[in-house]
Amino acid sequence: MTARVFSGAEQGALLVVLALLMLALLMLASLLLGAGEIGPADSLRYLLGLAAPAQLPQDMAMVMWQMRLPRMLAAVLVGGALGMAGMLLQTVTRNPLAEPGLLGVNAGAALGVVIGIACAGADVGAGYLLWALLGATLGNGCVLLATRLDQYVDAPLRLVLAGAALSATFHGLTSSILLAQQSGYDQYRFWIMGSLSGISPAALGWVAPAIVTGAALALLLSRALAALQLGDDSACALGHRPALVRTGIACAATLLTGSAVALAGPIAFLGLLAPFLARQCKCTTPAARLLLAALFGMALLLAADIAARLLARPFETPASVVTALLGAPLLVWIARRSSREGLA
Amino acid sequence: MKSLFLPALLLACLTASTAAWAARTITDANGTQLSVPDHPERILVLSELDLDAALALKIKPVGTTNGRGQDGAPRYLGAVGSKLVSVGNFGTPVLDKVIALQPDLILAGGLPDPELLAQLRRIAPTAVTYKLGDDWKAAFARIAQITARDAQAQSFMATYQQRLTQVRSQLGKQAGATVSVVRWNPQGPAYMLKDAFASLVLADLQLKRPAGQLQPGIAHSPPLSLEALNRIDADWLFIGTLAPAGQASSALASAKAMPAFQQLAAVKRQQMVVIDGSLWTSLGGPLAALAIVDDVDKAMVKR
Repeated sequence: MTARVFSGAEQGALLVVLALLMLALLMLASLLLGAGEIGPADSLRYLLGLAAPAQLPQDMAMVMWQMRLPRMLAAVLVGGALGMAGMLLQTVTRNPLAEPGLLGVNAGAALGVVIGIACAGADVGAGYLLWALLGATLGNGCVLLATRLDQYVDAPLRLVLAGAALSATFHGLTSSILLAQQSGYDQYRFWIMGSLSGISPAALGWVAPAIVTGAALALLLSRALAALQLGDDSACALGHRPALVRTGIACAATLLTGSAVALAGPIAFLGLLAPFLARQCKCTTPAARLLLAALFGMALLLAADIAARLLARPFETPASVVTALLGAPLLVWIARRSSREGLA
Repeated sequence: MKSLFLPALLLACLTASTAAWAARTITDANGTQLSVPDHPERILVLSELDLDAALALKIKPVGTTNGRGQDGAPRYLGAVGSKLVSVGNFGTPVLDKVIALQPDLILAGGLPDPELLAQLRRIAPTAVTYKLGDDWKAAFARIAQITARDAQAQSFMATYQQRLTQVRSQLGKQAGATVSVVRWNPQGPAYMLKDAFASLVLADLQLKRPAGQLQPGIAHSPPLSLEALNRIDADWLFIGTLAPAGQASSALASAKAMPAFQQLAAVKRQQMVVIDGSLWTSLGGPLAALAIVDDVDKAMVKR
């Protein structure tokens, strides 16, 4: 149609606008669609105030404000957190494949929650959050330690393999705890699938501040993180303290991942998909890249959650199944491309 | 002559010893012919249904497996169950513990793993008492036959039938009520499908299930969306969890706090009954069936 060629920056801006537009649409769709009997038309009329309450289904207000709204907010929080955490990990490890799920941070958080359920009777909300954060710290610590070892520098696939080993170890420990304590299993089973169904507003209240803190910390450190990409010496010359920055980034990634897992269970591949899309925008400022990754994370999880509601109505499909279906092929593709470029 | 004599002697010895030990040959649920002791004394049970049936036949098993989602024998069996030695979980018994118990008969209903079965048979004669999906009455009859207690089983079933008739006649107006059976999980409650254990007992009581709960299947539905929670509504709602008492009550407290839950007709009419998930939403046997009839009696019969 048009023969005009966009410059890189213009293309980036266009993509950002498109992503924002899509996010808004998905947030609306998340309020309009559900697995129950209340359809999008009634929901829209209710939201716009076009119909008298008597004309609408009796449960309209309850479904809208007690179920769909918390779920929509949870998708935004968790998606944003995982997208941003993925971008942080990818930048700090200089590895396009790094993401909390693949590197074992999710599994570490899950292990933390299971230990919490088994040993301390942890309950949804504050208990899950605390234990998930402890577990995520453990997972993140291992990942960052591994990236300090020479053989993992500039070897993306090797780091992912180490992450897979770490994940397997955490999963093994989790299973052994669950097998020893059968009665904890039922409580845990649904959560481990990674789903946004039945998220209580109280749990949202606990987790939201942690995610906001993590995101703020990440944005605050984004400049320093970019400087770190030039090498530790250059970063020092620019007035940053590499060790301190790395610790801060690790804290931010832990807060983001741990909180997301505490709220929705381990959702894999989101931390891979969102930063991948964000990088396609060719944004240069580090803070904008983080925000974009968060934006795509939100949009993806909203879409995955909507699909999760509609796939097996009136039953629930875990949202993590949908993200895995999208994410696994992408992982294979990036891995193939990077091995062709000689990174593995 | 000599070359024939030795094997003949061996054969004679072998038949003599087996004759003293096992007088009967039975056919198990897989169609396998087994020779089992005439009067087994050390019976090991490897599933909830086997345990339940054994206790109903007044057998005290030497050991059992944990109930699904339970830390020991299913909770509904109470003190009798909690005193039993456990050999591990259903489907994965610890073979060392099985050997240590020196069983002379193993009842392994629903066992899906042929290799495990072969290993168990090296320890003691192992009968597959039912296949997954067989109904509990057929399983009970087979267990009675394998343990040579047919008469006891028939008398138990007669008691069960009497109890059914009695409760049914006392239900009055409620006899035509619909009954929903739900395993609660705040993130995705599930209801029991048409051929699940509790559903069969309710069918014996000629109680109806709500229209949304009539899909065939021996287990529970996938987790239901909370928006579609009205699927678990009925005249009566029997709801429970597998979790131990403390956690179960907190799980149900979370249900009652949920606005969608308060909207249910059964809840509004106060016809919601909290039940033991290990009894209603698992695979039980004759004692469990009787206990479910008792629960229905307590909840639905007007006094």
